[in-house]
Amino acid sequence: MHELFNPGKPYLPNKRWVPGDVFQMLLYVISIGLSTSVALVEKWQKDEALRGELERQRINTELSYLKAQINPHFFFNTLNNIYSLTTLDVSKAQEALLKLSRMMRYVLYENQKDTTLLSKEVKFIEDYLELMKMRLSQKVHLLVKLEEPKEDLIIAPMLFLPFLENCFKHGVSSQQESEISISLEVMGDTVFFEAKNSIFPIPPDSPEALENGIGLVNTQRRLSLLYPEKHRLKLGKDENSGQYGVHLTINLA
Amino acid sequence: MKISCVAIDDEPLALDLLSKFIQQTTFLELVGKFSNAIEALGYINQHEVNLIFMDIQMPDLSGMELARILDGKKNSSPTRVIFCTAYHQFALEGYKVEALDYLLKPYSYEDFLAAATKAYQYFGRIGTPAQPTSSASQTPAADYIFLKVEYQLVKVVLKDITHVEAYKDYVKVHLKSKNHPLLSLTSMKNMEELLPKDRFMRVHRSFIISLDHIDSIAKNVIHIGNQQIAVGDLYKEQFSEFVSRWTN
Repeated sequence: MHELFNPGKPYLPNKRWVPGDVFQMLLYVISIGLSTSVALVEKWQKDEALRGELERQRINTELSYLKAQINPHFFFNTLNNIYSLTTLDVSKAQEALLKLSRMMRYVLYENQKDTTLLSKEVKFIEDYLELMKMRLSQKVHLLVKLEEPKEDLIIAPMLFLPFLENCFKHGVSSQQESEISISLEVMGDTVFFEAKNSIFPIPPDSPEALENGIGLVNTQRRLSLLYPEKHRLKLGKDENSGQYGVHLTINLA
Repeated sequence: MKISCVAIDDEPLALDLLSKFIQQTTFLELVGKFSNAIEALGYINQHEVNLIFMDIQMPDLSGMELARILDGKKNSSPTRVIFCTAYHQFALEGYKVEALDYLLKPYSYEDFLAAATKAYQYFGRIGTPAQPTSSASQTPAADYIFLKVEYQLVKVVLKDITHVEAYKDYVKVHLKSKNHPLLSLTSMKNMEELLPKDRFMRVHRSFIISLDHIDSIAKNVIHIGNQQIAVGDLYKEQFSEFVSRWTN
């Protein structure tokens, strides 16, 4: 090749310029390194976003699974009582029917949403307790103190129901007098809920015994997902009074 | 003679309704109503009670437990149970303790009466018709019935009927005086109601027999003339009770 363009001249290759070669090598390495790291960072960010999304989805799925459910027998027993009331006191029966339909609306529609108004939740508790009262014997003393929230706060629906159901599940006896007290107060953005009941053993093969407290565990998990660091739940037997007590404080701000 | 009943429910209104339904039913007699199973058990131990209507979900002692206690000493007390509950899941359990029926709350008087009638048939109190629930059950005291056979009503003397056999949508009424059965468009249930209970008995899903015409009984097979009829599982209890009336 050299012969073809420079006939007669001997082939004297230029001396290699080593620093140039080194520089070029470095350039290669740097550009490859740079592009790889850019691609890696991009991928990492994408993965992170995906992981966040999956985590959110998982929590949502878990929350929808944890959603409080009302015991269906409550409806059938209440309907049976209303049926009975129609022959005794029509106006009372009508009143109970309205309460029941308001409750059903709440259970069917509000409970599908992630949040509801605190005032609606309080109304729901009130209706539930009123209808429950209809089913109780004279031996059970039910004390209810519910404060109407002045301004409307946002809360997850049916958060308190499992605690209420529990009161009636454990706190009623056919032989002895018993007391169940429920109170709900609002101060600023904070809700204070309290439920207390006497404790009686549940007959081992009653239908309720087989439901073994899943409601409470679910509610605790639900609270920790929905209001992490924003709620305080204390439950257990009070040694002095011998009653079971639930104290729940949630900051809804 | 009436069936003596006890009503048990922890919910006052539900107990009220139950008691009212019992009092409303002529062949039932309400001898006690209780808001808990423990008091009721005390009463049942000391008095003769044929039938208990009760809820399952009750504090302290559940209806299912009470039924089990009573089931355990079945020989001394012929007390039977009908559950009235909002829990459909316990029907199977209910049949295990040999409950006569299982009423789901809320239930109407018609539902209640159907369950009570089962008890009535179980206790085999024969006499005045239970309740005029349908015109068919008002059996005339006459010695014959009319059957619809091919566009005409045919008079059939009760004494002549040996047995009735289900035949698709029809029933075959076998007569002693004829070789061929009459084919009538009706159901076995209607026939059962039409025929007087002291003279006829359902022994199988497809057979009602005339008690007068039984020639012999071998284990669970009844011979009428040259016909052999097996006693169905559902009807064994009732039939063996009938048999025991004559064998003791």
